Amino acid sequence: MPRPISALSFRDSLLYREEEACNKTGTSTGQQALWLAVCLPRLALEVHPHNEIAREKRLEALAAWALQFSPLVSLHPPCSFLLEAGGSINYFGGLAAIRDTIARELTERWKHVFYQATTPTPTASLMLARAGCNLLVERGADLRSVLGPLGIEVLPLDDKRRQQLNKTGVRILRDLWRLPSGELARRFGTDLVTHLDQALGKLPDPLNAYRIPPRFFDTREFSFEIGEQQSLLPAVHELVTGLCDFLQKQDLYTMDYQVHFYYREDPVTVLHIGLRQPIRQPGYLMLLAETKLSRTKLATAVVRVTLTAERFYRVAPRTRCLFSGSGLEQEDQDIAPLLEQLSTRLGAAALESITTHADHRPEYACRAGVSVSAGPAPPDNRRPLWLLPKPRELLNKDDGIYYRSRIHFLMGPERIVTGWWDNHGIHRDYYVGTDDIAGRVWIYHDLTTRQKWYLHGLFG
Amino acid sequence: MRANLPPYAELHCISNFTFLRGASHPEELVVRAKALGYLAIAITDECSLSGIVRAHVAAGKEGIDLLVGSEFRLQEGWRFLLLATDRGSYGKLSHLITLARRQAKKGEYSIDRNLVQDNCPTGCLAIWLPCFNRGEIETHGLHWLAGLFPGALWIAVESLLDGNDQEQLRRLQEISAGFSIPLCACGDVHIHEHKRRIVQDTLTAIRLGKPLSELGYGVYSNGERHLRSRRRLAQLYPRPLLEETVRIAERCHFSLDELRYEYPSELVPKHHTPGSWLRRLTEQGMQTRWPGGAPEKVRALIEHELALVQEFSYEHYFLTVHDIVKFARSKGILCQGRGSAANSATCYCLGITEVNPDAMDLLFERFISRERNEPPDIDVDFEHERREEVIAYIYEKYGRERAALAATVITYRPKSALRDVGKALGMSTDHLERLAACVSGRHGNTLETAQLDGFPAHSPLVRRLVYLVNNLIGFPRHLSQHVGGFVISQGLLSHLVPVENAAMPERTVIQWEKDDLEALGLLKVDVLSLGMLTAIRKALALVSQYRNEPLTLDKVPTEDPAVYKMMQKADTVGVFQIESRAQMSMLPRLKPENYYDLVIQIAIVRPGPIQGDMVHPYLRRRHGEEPVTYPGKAVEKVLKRTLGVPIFQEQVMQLAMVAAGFSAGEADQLRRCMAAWHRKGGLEPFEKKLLGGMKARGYPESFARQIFNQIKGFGEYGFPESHSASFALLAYVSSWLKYYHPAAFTCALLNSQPLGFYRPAQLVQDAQRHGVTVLPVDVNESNYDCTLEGAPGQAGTPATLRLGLRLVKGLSRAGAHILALERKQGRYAGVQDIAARTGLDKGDLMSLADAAALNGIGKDRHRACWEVLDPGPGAPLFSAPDEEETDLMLRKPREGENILADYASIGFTLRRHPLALLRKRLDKRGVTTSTGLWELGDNAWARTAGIVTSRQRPATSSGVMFFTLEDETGFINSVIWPSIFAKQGAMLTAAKLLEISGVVQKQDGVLHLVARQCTDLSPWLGDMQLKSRDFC
Repeated sequence: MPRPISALSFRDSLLYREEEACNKTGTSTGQQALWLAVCLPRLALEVHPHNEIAREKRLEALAAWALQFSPLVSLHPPCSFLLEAGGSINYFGGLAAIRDTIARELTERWKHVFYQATTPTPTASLMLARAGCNLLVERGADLRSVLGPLGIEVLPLDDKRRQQLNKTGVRILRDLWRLPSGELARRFGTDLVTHLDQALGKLPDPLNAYRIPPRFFDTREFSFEIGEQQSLLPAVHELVTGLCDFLQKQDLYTMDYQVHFYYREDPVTVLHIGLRQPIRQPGYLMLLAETKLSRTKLATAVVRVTLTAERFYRVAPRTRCLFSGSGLEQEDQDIAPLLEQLSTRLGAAALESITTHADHRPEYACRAGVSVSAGPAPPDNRRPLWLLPKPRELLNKDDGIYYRSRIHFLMGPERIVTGWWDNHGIHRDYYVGTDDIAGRVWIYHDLTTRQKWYLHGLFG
Repeated sequence: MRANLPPYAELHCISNFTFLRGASHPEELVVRAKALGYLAIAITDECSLSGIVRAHVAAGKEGIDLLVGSEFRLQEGWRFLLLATDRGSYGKLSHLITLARRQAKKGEYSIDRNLVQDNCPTGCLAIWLPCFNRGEIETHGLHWLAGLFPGALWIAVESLLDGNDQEQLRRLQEISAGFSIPLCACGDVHIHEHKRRIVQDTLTAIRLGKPLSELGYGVYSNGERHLRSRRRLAQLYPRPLLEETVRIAERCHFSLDELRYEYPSELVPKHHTPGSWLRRLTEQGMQTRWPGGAPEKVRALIEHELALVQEFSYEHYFLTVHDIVKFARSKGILCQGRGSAANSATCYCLGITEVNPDAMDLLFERFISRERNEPPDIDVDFEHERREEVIAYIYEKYGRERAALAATVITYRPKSALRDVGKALGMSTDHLERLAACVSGRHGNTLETAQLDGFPAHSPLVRRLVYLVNNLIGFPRHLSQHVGGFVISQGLLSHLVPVENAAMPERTVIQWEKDDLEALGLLKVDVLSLGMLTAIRKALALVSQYRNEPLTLDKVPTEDPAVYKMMQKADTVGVFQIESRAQMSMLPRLKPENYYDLVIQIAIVRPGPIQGDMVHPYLRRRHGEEPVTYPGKAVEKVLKRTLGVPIFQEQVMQLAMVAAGFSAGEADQLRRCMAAWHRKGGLEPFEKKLLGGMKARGYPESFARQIFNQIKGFGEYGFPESHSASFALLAYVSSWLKYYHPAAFTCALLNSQPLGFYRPAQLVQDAQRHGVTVLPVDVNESNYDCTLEGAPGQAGTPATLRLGLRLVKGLSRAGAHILALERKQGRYAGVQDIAARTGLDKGDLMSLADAAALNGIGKDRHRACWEVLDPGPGAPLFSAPDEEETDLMLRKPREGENILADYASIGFTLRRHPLALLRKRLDKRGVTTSTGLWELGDNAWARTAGIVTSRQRPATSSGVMFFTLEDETGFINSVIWPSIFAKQGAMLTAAKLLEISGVVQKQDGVLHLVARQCTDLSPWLGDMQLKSRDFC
């Protein structure tokens, strides 16, 4: 966390002009490189992992926004960013205008508490902004005395090094200027000395420029309305090819993309095309789009088609092994495209498979799912493969239990009393029996207060 | 109706001593089995007998036969039970368990067919537990067992309603016919009643490390593994199978009562009986103790004691303790026995204690109770730094086969239960942390829903959690080692009780704990450690050195009035036992004048006397403000030495006997109950008997009630006179050393840390107040330990104490020793010189720099650190060091910085007190110093501030906290009421520098500031690393 305390010393200082002073003199800084650092201390307080992602996103959004002021913006997580303002001064009509705009928008639009510092070096600007100083230093020669009173907390040191510096009595940067740099480097590493030299402009200060993340968007306008779905395919094909070219160039893969069909009046139709793994083969991507389109009913004639893709992956898809270790794995891979096509053609809800699940409760032991992998082995007893969706109550007469006819007991009981931990506990005695008409049946006696008999499954 | 049902004995039953599998206490199983009308029950914990004694005690009470056995799973996967039939087979079973346990990691066992074959517990009955695998049964195990246990093997039929019972029975009947081995019914019991089933499932989840919802088939599908009614069993099993269990039970004649324990006999020379040898040693000792002849009273006492010892054949026990103590003495290890047997005249003669029986009136008979035939209990304290030598001696003398430590059963506490149950219920880490924060060690042994602040009390999850936690509390979790209770035997110990590995390498523990040993009447020797003995030995050595004549414990002059005067002023920092805040505030009130006063002083500041409201009556009577009266002649005899007020545990027991008609055995039961009622309850029957008995004998009810309250108050903290008598000796000796040799005493205390109530900071300040000059740690002066410097002063004692390198935080022990050793070759000239000569690493050198130990060679902290950080000429990639080092512009440390760094490194400072630097600022706030408070009147309003050195919340104070603050002039005792703590608790717990405003209270030379308002001034200290010693 920056320590705003350091800023206090600057507020009283007359040596370095605060923003207002700068406005009055109207100094033109010409083409000199000036680095404007912005620090948003509250962002650093977001420590929850969930919020950390959000914080990164917010910082990126700010960087993207800052690109309007300068082509060169760089991110300095957790809570700072930097832009080169010298080159934009003429365009914006003065540095003050840039600083003003930034300050206003950060306060009004982004609702941020922030510090901004501008100096001839990126490192010095960041140090000052992080230390909580709103400050402008135009001359490199002034940097040494401006930075002097800052605490060593502004240096990128690990805790151990910082403690060691503390132990030698070094508390502020001025203490460091007094020490021979060769000796400092011997003790605390060349990085420290380099960093200090970069802050003073003695050494170049390379930065990672921020770039807006990739997004694919392409569109085809038709000069006439197209009503036939088949006639839309060439346009879709072009768009998909465009997407694949984009992926190829950027060395990316995608797992989903959207095709939008616009009409003159009706609301837009969107096809969401999702994949089971990251991919960029044109043929396959086109096949899925085609299949999906053939299952979709378009409202009226289409005037425009667009394709967007926003989520990308840098991972290569799995390649098939020449010598496959397990047959199942191979089968899994072979069956994947088929399942994808089936699910695209019939809809995800139409595709179901049975998976086994380790649970004594019969209702939970078989579940519908899409997994094709083998589940855990069921316990050492006999169970029917298919269960009734809901157990069916049986007739309990004096002489026995009836389904279609009187049931003769073959095996049992198997007592299942479990599941108390999730409010779906059961308390039952299961039996295998035969019914003259229905064949072998799986029935149970509910041992709770209900004390009733139910049919739960039929053996094949 | 029941009579028509087939009889049954449960032969396969594990308790919660099969950790995380069984879910019922052994006692519960036994009680339930009896209630269901079983003829017998076997406890067959998995490769363990650790729960068997509890079951044995319960079975004795219930009147049901207990079979001793164990369940095994071989590495081959075969499972079977073994049941002991007689003492011989029990010994072999116990030995087999020992072997299986000893060759595995702590808490585990490893056994295969070869181990069983080579150590076959012949005489045991075996029951094969078949394993079903998809309807198939593998019979190799049965075949193998048939060879080992001819005519003593059965096949277990366990009908647990898993759907295949009939089929399995049919298969087993075929196998039985094929092998000609009979079948018997078994229940695979894990719980005593069905209700406990959810605890069983939860334990399974804990064992498998998964939440219940993910256990799948890892958890049993039903709760049939409980003790089922005989009606139910009759429905499930063919009658002959049930009847067979009884025939098996009838073949098991063994009872744990048969265990007789023989102490090693090698200590008795040839031509001597144990009795004659004990008498010889006692008489020899008597001559040493009383060269002019022992007083008649002592002679009579010894005769009486020896007769009792002989009557119960405890000679070996006394000889064993004597032997251990003799070894310690021969090595110069200080030790002292305590307990009433220890403080007997015999033990005084044997050198086990220094408490003179002539001066005391202790009840030797208490621990050798005629009625109950219970063993005596002797605890021997040894110097804490050298106890390992004594333990090594015992192992060496008797061997690992004959000596082992008693176990301590570690049980679930609310916090640990909450954590494990929470995980089993699938709660998130976040929730678990929040839950754990709701429960602190101060809460009792149950969890109330109300404690779970911020959790919805009525949600099913929270209710389940609370129910399970409360069930799990008190469940054994694993075995640990007792602090020092040794069991030593004549023969192989493993034939008496299984022995297993402890966590410490080369340590073994038996599977029974202290209570189990007591229940079976087995003896143990407590080899305990006591820091003060180390300190006293070191102090005596220092004094001997500068006096040039040996000073030993028995040569310390007794009953010195000057020493008692010092105690009366509560000038007792560092003194054994009477140094705590509570003791110190009692000293000026009680004003001890002699040894016995000190015995009372030590025992009176305890929960028992305080809760029983004994303190004030005693003080009033002592000061003549209240007449000394007794409710009767018999009572007078018991209470005369404490002016009619019961203070010691022994007196309460004697009162129960003389005033309420308890027998000696009953009184002893009462004592045991007193020690455990907080945990286990069970005092109610005694309450009735005590109150009734006293009423019947004409004592007023108020007196009876008072006695009972005191019994309750004693609880686990009950303090017997016999212990107090031993402690008082050490308290006196340490006071004497403090008074006459303050430098040596402080030096010894610093060299024996950690011990006692105070940190080195307070000990050093106290020494300085007593005129001792304390010099800082210096690489050219200090040894590893603190040392005394200079010529003896006026009183013949050197008054200069040099701090040792041991106080330097972060400095390795080896490094400190090398540093001191190498210095003999010449003084150190600089950091590089030290590094070159000693080879100390950077970490050690930096620790020295941090401690300002290099100041002596002209390097202040900053410069010393700068030099230590120099990677040296050999470091690659760097230019050669600058020559102009002398011009280095490093700032000198300021005083405040030095003070903070002193605290961070050695825990205190010899410079000004930090508060002295802050005094001007404090003056502006109107803060009074510690000494300034004494100038104010009683009930005056004052504001004071100091560094928090201790926080205490005594069990007897009903939530009141006692804070000790320290400023540059001394200590301030402050009382914080619960209402203030409730509001500012978090701040008060964390504050290092605290300002307290409140009312001054003075009484009997003790000053307290009763807080009304507290303010945290810690930021004033910067990041000073102070740690107070919290006793919350």
